[in-house]
Amino acid sequence: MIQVTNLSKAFGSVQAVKDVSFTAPNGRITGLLGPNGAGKSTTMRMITGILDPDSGTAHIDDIHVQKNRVAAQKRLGTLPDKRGLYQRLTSRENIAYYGHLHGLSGAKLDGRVNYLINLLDMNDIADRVTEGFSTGQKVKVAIARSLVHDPPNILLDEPTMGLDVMSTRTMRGIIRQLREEGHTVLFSSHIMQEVASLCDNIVIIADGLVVAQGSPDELRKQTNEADLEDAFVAVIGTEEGLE
Amino acid sequence: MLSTIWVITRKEMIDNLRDRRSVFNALLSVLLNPILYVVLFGFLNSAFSEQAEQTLELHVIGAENAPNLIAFLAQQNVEILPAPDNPEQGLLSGELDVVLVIEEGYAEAFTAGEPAPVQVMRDGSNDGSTVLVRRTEQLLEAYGQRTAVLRLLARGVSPTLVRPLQVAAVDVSSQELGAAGTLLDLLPVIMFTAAFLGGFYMVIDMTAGERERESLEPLLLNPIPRWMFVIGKYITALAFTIVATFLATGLFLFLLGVPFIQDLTQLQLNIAPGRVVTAVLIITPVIFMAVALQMLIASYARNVKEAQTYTQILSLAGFMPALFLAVLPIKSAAWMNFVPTIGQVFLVGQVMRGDPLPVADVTISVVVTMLVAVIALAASIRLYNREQIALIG
Repeated sequence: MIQVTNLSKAFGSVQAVKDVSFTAPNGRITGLLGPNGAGKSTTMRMITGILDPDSGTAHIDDIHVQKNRVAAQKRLGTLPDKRGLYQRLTSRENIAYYGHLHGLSGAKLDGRVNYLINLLDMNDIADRVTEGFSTGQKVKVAIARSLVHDPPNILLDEPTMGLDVMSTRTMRGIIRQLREEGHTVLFSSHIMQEVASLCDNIVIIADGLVVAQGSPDELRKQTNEADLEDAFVAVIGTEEGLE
Repeated sequence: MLSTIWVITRKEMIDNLRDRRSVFNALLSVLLNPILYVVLFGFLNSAFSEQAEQTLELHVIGAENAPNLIAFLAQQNVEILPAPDNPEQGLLSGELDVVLVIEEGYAEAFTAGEPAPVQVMRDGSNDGSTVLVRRTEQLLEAYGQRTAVLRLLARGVSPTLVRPLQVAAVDVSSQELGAAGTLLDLLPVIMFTAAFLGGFYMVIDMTAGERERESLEPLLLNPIPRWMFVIGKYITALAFTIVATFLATGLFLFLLGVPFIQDLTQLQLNIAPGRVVTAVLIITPVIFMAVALQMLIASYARNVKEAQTYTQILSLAGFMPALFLAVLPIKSAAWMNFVPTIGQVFLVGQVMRGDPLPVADVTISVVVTMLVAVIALAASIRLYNREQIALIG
């Protein structure tokens, strides 16, 4: 479970996140929807312990992220906005390095790496150095390394960004599978259709504030719109920055 | 804890050693230095010593005016050659190094016991002729002395009367190192250059490069205290830099010791291996400091380019003082032991000359240098523990 309470963050005079509170419950897919620049990535980076909030708190399974970063990160797997790989290492070596950093080794690590390579259908690129990979191939490696320790909570920042149609379908399949396995999934997106089709729970952010949240049914009810995408636009007030 | 640091170090080593071109560039820039210095100083030395020993080809105008002088010169390994019609032209063009002119009135003045006029013509801007000119002047001086002694004896006067002083030069240095000693003064320069350039590419790749390739933020999401990343990367760069520095030092000493090269450069290196080892150990803390400072600078840099600019300036600051001290006659002072790199230059000089090792000075030098390394590392760790590390750029 990921719990965020009254988070705020300013960069200089720009108030990127003003007041964000929500809960991503266990075994559910929670979508963080908002136009580009709404504060999604900044919120994500505070949950992962990369940025320090000016006020408010983030908890991973009741562990205070800022006070106990290492313990919180053990229970979290993240595909961040920045997802560079080591270009002189193979996909397998990239994934195994993160496994080692999580304290895995030996047969346990090998088994886990092989499982992810099969899950993400990347046997063809597993033993190639990652230099020159396509965006889709890079994202697969980045996802695999973030899941290597089988974390109960998974954070995905715009996971389908830059992917072609086939890779996007694969990615959505994986997100659903993670839910079936009981993981807590929180992912951010500016694509309404993606959020509408995947999420059990939706948090809509605009201009650094949570403007609405709830299940798709609850959002439709709140806005009196039959179509979920119309409901999003009604809540945010504009289609700008959305797809 | 140690196993986690080893995981980081091992990954960085594999990753960086696969970057063949950078490794090659790093080793090349480090190993070229000893070759360059030995070739440069060696050939300068060999040029001077050859000029001092070979037959002096002396072009003479008016040789017929002084047959005795010419006979004397011929005995002293001088080959007398006729001068061309236009000696000024020959000197200016560099064709001739020195021309001796024996003037018309020489014989007359010599017989009368008056100073007999001779001229030594040279081009003062031609540095290559310095040794030959000096040899010519010394030979003329020697002939003059000999003539004076004979004249005094002929008049029944003891020649010692006109030599009121007997001057002897006494060298008090413990061991005469000769020209090779001058070259050994370059040992700190070679080691500092390697220390500041050996791990240069690697440090930047692991810090500013990691950020530029956007792999730093995902790395920091792993549940590890961040100081371990700094230490793991530092150990990698330090290990490579130590290897590069020892390779450069080894190559330098090897070049000075090879008989073929000794023949070529006329430099004989005669120094106890124990002294070289002591000198290398005195300088080693500088490697720890250089890599730590580079890491700090490259971690703060916004991108690889900026990191390269700043670390290059640092490299210059690292080895230029040693280069100046190696060629300029500057006296050591107590405060210099407190300045990393400068203190080491003087300590190594003392060790090479065989003076007793000043334990207090060595201790100060080691402690101050290592302290700078520790402070730089602590500052890097402090940066990695702040969110600023993810926001630079």
